[in-house]
Parts: sequence; structure tokens; C-alpha cells
Amino acid sequence: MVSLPGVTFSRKENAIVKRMVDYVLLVRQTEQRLSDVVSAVAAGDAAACLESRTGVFDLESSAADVARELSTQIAKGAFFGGVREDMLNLITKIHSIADKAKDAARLITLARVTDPRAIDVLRSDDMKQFLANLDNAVVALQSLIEAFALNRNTVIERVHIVKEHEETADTFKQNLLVALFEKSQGEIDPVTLILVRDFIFCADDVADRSEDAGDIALVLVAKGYG
Amino acid sequence: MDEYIPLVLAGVLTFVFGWNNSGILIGNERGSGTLSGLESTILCSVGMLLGVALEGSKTTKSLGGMITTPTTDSIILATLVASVLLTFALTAGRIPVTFSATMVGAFAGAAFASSAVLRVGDIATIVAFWAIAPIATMAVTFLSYKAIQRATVNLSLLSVDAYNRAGVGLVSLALAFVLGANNIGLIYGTSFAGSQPSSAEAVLTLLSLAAVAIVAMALFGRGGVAGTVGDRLLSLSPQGVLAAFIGTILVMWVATQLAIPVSVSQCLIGGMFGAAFTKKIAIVNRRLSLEVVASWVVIPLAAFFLAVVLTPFL
Repeated sequence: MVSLPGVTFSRKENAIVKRMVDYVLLVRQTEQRLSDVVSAVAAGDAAACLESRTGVFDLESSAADVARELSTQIAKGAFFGGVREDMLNLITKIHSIADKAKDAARLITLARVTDPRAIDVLRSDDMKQFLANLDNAVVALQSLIEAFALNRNTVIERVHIVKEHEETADTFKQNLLVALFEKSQGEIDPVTLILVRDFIFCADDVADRSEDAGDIALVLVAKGYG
Repeated sequence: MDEYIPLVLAGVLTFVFGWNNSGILIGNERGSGTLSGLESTILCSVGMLLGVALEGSKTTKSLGGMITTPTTDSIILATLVASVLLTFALTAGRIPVTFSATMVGAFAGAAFASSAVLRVGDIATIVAFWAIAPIATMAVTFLSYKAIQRATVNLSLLSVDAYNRAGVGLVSLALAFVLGANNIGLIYGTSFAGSQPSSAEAVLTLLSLAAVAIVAMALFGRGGVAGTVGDRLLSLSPQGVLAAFIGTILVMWVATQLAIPVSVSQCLIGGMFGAAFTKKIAIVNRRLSLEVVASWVVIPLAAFFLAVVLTPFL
């Protein structure tokens, strides 16, 4: 905290960043439920599907409330003028992670997946690793936000970590798509194929949006340190 | 001549001065998002009043005591009328105008038209300082920027943000101080001929003129002129802008100690280039920068000739 006797210049901003770290945690919980949704879909358990999907939706809604609250606080006068809009963009980008998790959960539960080849893809190690790296990207993003209270070099290092997890997630996404289309060879019904494919693309956006948030952090560093 | 006419004209000129500089004082601060309009106005008002009260007397003899002596009523009136007309027209046209250069040009023109003896040496000193001021500001800004970068390189983003916000407030206070001291003192000093009023009367009048400038600042402090200098000329980071203002404040303060009238835009242009050069890459609006520099020559010459024309009638 920056202060002179009797005057503190960054109490509000410190509180906002702490709240942002908690907010990313909430977004992470939203994204983490995706593995429960995928497991339920692969098991064909309709009740579990509904429950886990509802869980994702509720968490996303809570995240939206927090995002609104943070945006209002910032818009009312926190941070230097030129940095303020980047902070607002950062919050919007973080919220889009939860949004994409919600879209992915909605997509995969639109119709029952019964095709055994598609279920194999959902149960595969590649899918587990893919979802794990999505989570890693969001955890790295949380760590990046915490670095706002540390120093510039740590922020930059942690931006690179987010990018690495996004790239790793991309690798597993590629493996999943190859497996999906190889296994299909005209045998998986087109609706199921599209459903699973779109789910993979949508879920991948979780990591992409984490990377985008990291890019905004780089802009903050560039502007802040002159 | 009614002794209050020059004071009224000085009041009008100070109002225009406040109007013209409102953007650079209040507008920039509001634009940074650090303070509200009211908070910015209060801060700049405090700075201006302090500058006028503590150092406003230092430039009261910059014209009448330096360029020519003794000063006659017609010289005073012509200087003030020419300055009011020119600065009002340019301010209304949202063109940055150097008050000090305008008044020096007008005073020299009025003195010339009155066949008063011009001290060419003193005029040359003032003009030389104007030529050196942007370069000196550039150098001071360059060093300040390097120092700021070195001081903040290991701080957190939050700390840097806090220092930027605190810095904007402090430089606004200091800039208002030096502007008040250098320019309002100059305007006041031009409004009387003969012996100087008592120090108590001088301070009271200076503070009254500062109050007039503050009213104008409060009414018009939404940008405008400062937008020309700051936003359209160069692209600078918050720390670059702070360094440019620090350089400007230091050079203007030195000018005040030497009783040399100087304008904020003359220094600030140099400061902005000084900040840009630390990055080695600068995006400069060349056309605008040439226009601003040309105005430093054209406007005092225009004031000179306007005063020459007006003097016989006053």
C-alpha cells in the first residue's frame, strides 16, 4: 500500500485486486464443474447431468454479480484514468471464461450422448488432460492477478505461464478432435459429432479467454511502468 | 488616467489567462481520473494563491522595470488592451497562447510607438531564455523520467498506479504555483506606472487577480486548449507526462527567480519531447508542433504591431 502520514493512495485499489483474486476463484469453480458435466454425460446419468449443469449455471450467475460489482467500483473512480478501462476490460474478459464454461455445459447436455465412440472420446485421457489444462490456465490467471501486488517481472512471468497452459490445452484439443473424427469415419451420427466437437471448441475458449486476460495484464504493465 | 482602468484590464486579462490555462491545470487532472472537477479546482486554486502570494512580486517589474523605464500610462493601456484582445481571440479559438510572449510583444510595441527607449539587451535576454527554455525543459524532463523509471521499476502495479495518481495531484499544485507566480505577477506589474504600491496592497491585489483566474479556471476547466498540447501532439505514458510537467515546473520556477516572463506551453513542448526521447520512438504530430512553435514568433509579433497601432489612441 502506498501511503503518506494520514493519507493512503491505494487502499481502494488493493481491496479491488483482492476481490478480483476471489472472483477468479469463483470463475475457476464454474469451469471446474465441466469435468462433472462431462462425466455425467459419459455415464448417461440424466439427473447428474442436470445437477452439474445447474451448478455451472448458478456459479456463472454468481460470477456475473461479482463482475458487475467490481466494474461499478472501478468505474466510480479507482485506478489511474488510463488504466481504468483496461481493468474493466480485464474483468469482462475474466467473466467471459465463466460464460464459456456455461456455454460448454449447455452444449454437451443439449442431447443425450449414446454413441459408444463419442462416449469413449468423452472418457479418454486426452479429455481429462484437456479439462485439467483448462483449469491450470485459470489457476495461472488467478496467480497472475495476485502478482499485481508484487512486481512487474512476476506479472510478465505469470502471463507466460497462462499462455503455456493454453497451448498445452490446444494440443489436447487437437488430439480429441482427431480421435473424434477418426473414430467417426461416418459411424458417429452427425448430431452427436457436432455436439461433441462444439463442446470441445467452446471449452477451449476457457483457456483462450484466460490467455486474452493475460494479454490485458501485459498492457497494464506497459502503461503502468511508462 | 483613472487608476482603476489598468486594474480592470488586468482583471480581464487574468480571467482570460485562467480560461486559457484551465485545461492544462484542471482538465488534465480530471482527464487522469485522479480527482473530480471540484477537487481539481480546489487543488489548483490553492497552488495558484500560494504562488501569487509567495512569489508573485518577482515578475512585477519584468516589463516596466526591464524592457523600458519609465513606463507611461499609454504604454500600460496599450499593452493591456492589445494583450486582452489578442489572448481573448486566440483563447476563444482554442489556440494555446503564450501570455508572457504576448505581453512582452505588446509592451515592446507600445514602448516603441511611444518613442520610449527600449533596453534591447533586456529584450534579448528574455527572448534568449524563451529559446533556451524548451531545450532546458527537455533536458530536465529526460533526467526526471529516467529517475522516475528507476524508482518505480521494482514496484508493484498497484504501487505504480498510486504514485501516478499522487504525482498528478502534486504536479498540478506545483504547476498552478509557478503559473500564478510568473504570469499573474507579470500581469499585475504591467498595470501600474510610477512607484510600486505598498507590499500589503500588492499582495491583496495579486490575490484578487488570482481569484479572478480561479473563477475562469473553474468555469472552463474541461479540456480544450490542453487537449491540443497534450493529447494531439504526442503519445506519452502517465509517467512521461509527469516528467514533462516536473521539467516545466522547474524551468518556470527558475524563470520567476530571474524575473523573466515565460509561458507554460514554451516549456511543456520541450518537456514532452524530452519524455518522448527517453523511448527513442516518438509519434509526433509534426504539423501541430510546427504550428505551436510558429505561434511563439507570430503571436508576439502580432501583439507588437497591434500595440503600435493602438498606442496613439490611448
